[in-house]
Amino acid sequence: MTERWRPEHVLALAPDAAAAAAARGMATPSRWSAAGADDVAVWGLCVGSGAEPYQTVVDRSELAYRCSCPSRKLPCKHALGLLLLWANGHVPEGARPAHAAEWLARRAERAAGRPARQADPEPADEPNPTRPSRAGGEPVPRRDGAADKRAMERAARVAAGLRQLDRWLVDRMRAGLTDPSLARYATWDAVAARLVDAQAPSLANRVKRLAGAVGTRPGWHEHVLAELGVLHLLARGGARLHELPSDLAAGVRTAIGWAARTDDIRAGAPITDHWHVVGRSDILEDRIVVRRTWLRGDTTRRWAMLLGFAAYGQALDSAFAVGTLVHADLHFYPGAAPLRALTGVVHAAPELDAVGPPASSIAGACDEVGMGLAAEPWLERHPMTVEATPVHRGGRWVLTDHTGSLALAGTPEALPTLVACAGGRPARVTAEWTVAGLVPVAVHGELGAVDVGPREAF
Amino acid sequence: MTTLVEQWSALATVGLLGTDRRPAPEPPPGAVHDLLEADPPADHAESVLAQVAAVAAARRAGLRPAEPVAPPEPCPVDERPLCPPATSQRLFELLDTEPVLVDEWLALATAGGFRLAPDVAVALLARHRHDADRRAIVADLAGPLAPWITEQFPLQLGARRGGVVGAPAPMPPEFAAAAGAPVEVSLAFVALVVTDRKHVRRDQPLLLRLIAAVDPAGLAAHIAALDERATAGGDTTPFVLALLDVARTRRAMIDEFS
Repeated sequence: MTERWRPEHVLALAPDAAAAAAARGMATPSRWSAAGADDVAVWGLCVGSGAEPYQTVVDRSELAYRCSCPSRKLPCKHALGLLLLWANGHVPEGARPAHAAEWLARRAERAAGRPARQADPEPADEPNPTRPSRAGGEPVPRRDGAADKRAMERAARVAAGLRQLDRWLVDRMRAGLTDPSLARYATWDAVAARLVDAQAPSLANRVKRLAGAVGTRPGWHEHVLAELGVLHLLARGGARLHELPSDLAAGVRTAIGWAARTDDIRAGAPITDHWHVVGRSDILEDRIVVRRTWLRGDTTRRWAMLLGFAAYGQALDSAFAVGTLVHADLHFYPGAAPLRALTGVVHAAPELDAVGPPASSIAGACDEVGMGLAAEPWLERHPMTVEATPVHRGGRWVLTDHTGSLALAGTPEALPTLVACAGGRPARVTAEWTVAGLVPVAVHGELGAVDVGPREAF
Repeated sequence: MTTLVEQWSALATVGLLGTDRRPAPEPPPGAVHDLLEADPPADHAESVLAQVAAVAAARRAGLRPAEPVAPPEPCPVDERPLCPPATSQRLFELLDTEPVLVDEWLALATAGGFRLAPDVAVALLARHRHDADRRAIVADLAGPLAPWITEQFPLQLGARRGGVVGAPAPMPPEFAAAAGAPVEVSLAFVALVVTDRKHVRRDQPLLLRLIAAVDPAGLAAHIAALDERATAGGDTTPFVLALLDVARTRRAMIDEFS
């Protein structure tokens, strides 16, 4: 008989009080039929507003959810309610019905297809899915001879991989970008695979993203050339980390995919401030959805980026909602342009941000972003908040004020909402600078913020 | 004095063709030149790679805006009060999970003399492109914003011909009659349908529409009656609970507007 969770643990998974209340409402046995559980999953059918009952499955081992209801929330009230029902002992053991077995099989397939190291994080960085309680302690790092030896071996592997990358980059300059081998995905995949083997996963992802840019639109070769230059910076920097100033070395390490352990980051002194939660973007990066939450310190004026990750079926952490103000400690990762942070102590519940974040002019924001890029030229995104008007000009949308204009690169869903909120007048907009243009993430007003950030999902 | 832009242009040409065909450009006196002197590249290819990295990094750090652009004619001001924030949030939830209540939401907003929040207006204009009647209601609620924003995004928000996509079928007469009847009659009708599992399962979508359509003054009585039936138990309970959810959501929605 598998050990059941406690109801408080399940309710802790609810993103807010309203979701917890909705889950409690769903946790009555009379709502559910054909419910069952085994050592991995819980499943059931729940009558709702649809013609057919909703099919709900929860994978307890990795906290993933699936429900056929139309709600876009993950976990929905049916998934949490079912889990609560199980925690309260109302779900018998049983054999998986077809709908549960199919979905669990699909999850296993996707997990197997993922590269050995995903996107950015070390295993220590990802939320530990087997213990639902958020108050749980984290493992104490081992500092012994074996760990140091492993670190040295890893450093040697990475350095060798970076030297190999650099030789490949030099060959590309020799052959030129019109070389037909560059038009084949296989060429880039091979380079990426070698970087994964060399334990440089973020560089591998960067290379794969670049593959998609070859030959796509006018001026592609300038974009690809610049990106190859950035890879050269990282390859050279990564092979000489000990010669670099420590902040720069930390930034290079992160860009390669060698992130510091979360315990070490949390052990450092935090920055305490009232943080405006100014934007959110969800981007699907090779079988993982990456959520970036942008914060701006009211007193320190510092920018911060929180990262969250979710595999297929997993929920993204929605601890901070865009348009709120939160009094909290943030622990920053070291770097030459430090942005990434971890949440430390939260001193009070987040409240509605009536005042909103400070804003720059377009030229002022360029200065800020430029400083960040001067420190870390490989940055792929940098936040800004501007008081500007979205305008259509010459076939493109731009954000403009009297100091200048910058091209927008919003999703088809975001642009109409952004333009409607501004109404042809200056609006307070938070956006991510990217090489392709500004990606708007929020419009700030007196009644809070409108979240227009990308919502890529499986 | 060669600017960064000119240097980049020369590098882009060589980068495209390859150093097997073209020599590396000679950097003009300045930071890039000094960089190559301090760490001399072994050949043309290495020289180009180093120059590309340096110039690309410098250009990114030197981010400057383009010329300011004159803003358009702004949207005319709409003096009506904005829908209360709770109602806007409720609408987005309804669009996903209880679309049967959206028509009443629109009616409540109209009756209250409110205007739509811009993000709600955009979502509704996009949703009702094919539905001339609902589109007209949304356009009224959006005020001058509707034509102003539609003109700028005709592909996403412009009206489409071709009838209503996925419109609900007309309600059978007995359900329609119950919806418009005095409270006791509609209560009796609902009680009749929900006691029989065969009926309630088959007619659930219609029952939902009925609950969404009964006189708001009688809604509390319906909620009480459904609650009682759910507590009494029986094999129709899951369906009764689902109806109760919609009834309670409807009551919350009405309260949010007052």
